[in-house]
Amino acid sequence: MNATWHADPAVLASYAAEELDDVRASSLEAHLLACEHCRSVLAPMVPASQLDEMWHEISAVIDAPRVGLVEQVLVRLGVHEHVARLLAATPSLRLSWFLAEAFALGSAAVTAQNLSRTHAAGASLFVFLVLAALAPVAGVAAAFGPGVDPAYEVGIASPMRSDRLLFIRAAAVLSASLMITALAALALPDLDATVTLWLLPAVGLTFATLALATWLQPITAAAVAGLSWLFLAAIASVVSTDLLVAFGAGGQIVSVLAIVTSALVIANRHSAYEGRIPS
Amino acid sequence: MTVRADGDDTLLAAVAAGDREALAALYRRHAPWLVLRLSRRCADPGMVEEVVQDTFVAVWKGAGRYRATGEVPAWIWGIGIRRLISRLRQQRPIAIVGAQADDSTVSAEDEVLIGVEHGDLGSALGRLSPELRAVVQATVLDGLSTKEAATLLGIPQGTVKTRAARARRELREALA
Amino acid sequence: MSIPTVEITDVHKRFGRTTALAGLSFDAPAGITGLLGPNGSGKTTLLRMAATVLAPDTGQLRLLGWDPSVSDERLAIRRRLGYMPQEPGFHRSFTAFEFVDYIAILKEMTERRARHDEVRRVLTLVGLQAVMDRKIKALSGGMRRRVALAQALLGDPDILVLDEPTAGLDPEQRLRFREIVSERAADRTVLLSTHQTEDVAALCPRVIVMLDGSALFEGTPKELTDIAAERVWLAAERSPTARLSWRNPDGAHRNIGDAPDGADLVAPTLEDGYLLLVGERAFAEGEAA
Repeated sequence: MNATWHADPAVLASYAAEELDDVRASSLEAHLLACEHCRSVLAPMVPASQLDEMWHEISAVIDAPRVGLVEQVLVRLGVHEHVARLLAATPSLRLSWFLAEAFALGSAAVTAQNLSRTHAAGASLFVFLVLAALAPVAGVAAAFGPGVDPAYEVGIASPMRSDRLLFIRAAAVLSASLMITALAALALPDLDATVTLWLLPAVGLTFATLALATWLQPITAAAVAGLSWLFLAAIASVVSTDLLVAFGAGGQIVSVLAIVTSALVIANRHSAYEGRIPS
Repeated sequence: MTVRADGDDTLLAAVAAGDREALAALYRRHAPWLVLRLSRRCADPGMVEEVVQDTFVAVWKGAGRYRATGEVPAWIWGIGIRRLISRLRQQRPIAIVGAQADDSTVSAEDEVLIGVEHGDLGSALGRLSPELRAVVQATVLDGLSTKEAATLLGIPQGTVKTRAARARRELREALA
Repeated sequence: MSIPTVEITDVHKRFGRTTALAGLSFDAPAGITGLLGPNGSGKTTLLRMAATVLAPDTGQLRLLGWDPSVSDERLAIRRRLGYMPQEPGFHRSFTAFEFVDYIAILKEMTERRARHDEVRRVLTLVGLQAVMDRKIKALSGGMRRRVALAQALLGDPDILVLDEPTAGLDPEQRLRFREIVSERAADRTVLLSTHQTEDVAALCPRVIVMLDGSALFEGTPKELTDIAAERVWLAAERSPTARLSWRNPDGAHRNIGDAPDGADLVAPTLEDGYLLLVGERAFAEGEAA
């Protein structure tokens, strides 16, 4: 809609210079709301540099990527914003992964609850404990490496050190895993010491995986650590006829030893994480 | 950069669909007058710039809420002036009690002011004191409520009412 | 040639029983250097080494004067490097902006506002400013390639390594790509590999032709074209002395090889020179076997 009357360009210029008197300025403002022609005459009279700067600021806000739930929580917990973005790009730190983990562990705990007065009591508890110990290992496997990180090659060529990235992600995966497991463990039949038996093995296996990853690809390291532990646990339970021996006193001590040894290996060989492309 | 010949309504619809270039076009058209108009109500140029920025971010986010009444500039002004007021409110804590301002665009009285330059009304307004004129501008031209005008001008609501009443009296006398 | 910024010396690389690079040597100065060669010639392997992603079995590389086999120097190179791999991978649920932002973090840009400005800058450079907020899985193939190019341009690197950057792009997109790269190349080093001889002819003051893991030719496009000087002719059909021959759209046969007397010679193109070079070598190897 254009008014039939147009403002004198000299008046517009005076308005732009903030030198026009109040009455005429108010009148002009009302007119500008309705007249596209006068608006376009006025526009070049405002400094372009000022307008460009403001647009720059506006772009910064509207182009900022939406921050996912996980990232928001992390930033609340005091994690630096760029670290939170890195973690958000980790497959095993997505909501879908958490839900899958929670579901698996929750089901195992509930099953143990249901079967607690039966012959299968020990077996169902064993299943839960095994899942709890292996959960962070699977998480670490899914956090890093060519199989799961689509931008892997570009990542290697970037200055960020692979070990730093791996540690950040492994720490996040481990913490998340432990929290989910702790919650799921509330569904276990007896809320006694058995509720914590998985903790040291879980941490020990995670450290062992990271230590092995100085020689192998993370996925392979996780597989080796997880499967060999499972194998040994099975043998031990057959030999001692106690299903849960892997989580007993001996198992806990072994876990602590694993943590200490792995930590030493990692400290010594951490530069070996330098990315490798599978040939 | 291509110059878009689309009307404001079309551009706004495009913005609602996420078209960033459409927002840039709206910005080029409307930011200049918005800067100047806000500068006449707020002496702080930094705040004016921030308000203009906030306004266009609000346009980006709220483009879908605009009902095509053909009054895009007035809608943008409504957002802008209210942003300015809420900023001022944060700075000068005035106890605001009462109903929320309605979302209307500029009142119809401003139509009267077109062509006022050499008319009786113009000179009558010119003879009002600056304080009275400011109240007239805020309540008539900008369509603000008493509460909003109070925040904008930094005076109590009671003062807004008395000054508005006095301005009306003086204008009636001058035009009689 | 001015001071070389890339020096490749007698590099060898084997993967199992396959030899990818067999004693490759060349130098590249600032500016654009094109790598031409058939599949399997070792271009990708070489570019991966230039991007510090792969190490050679034997031989030496120097990039911007630094040695990538030394940990600290490798880090220094990576800080000045942009790499676009042959098969760029993306987190598909990320938007274009988010993906480039993620790579920017990997490139140590920790300050959020400056980083976002830089992400916007590179996406605008490649012409994607209108689709920054669209998910990568919703972008066309050509657009995805441009996202991959954008991330390589982050931080305005001194050395750009681009592996088949124009693969799958239509002619208009290729033209746009050439504009972007030639503007960047002023005093920077660009190493790019391609199948398209037109890209090389239009863009690269320097060409390396690779075959079977070593450099067959190193020089200017004109020198490569001149290899085919007076060795390209038109005839009604395939000529017996031609190494290579094919039918033109207008029915005549274009022959490359040793021209017989009185043949209808035509001016050679870069592609002719390339084909003659690669064809001859392959031909010679076939005879020696």
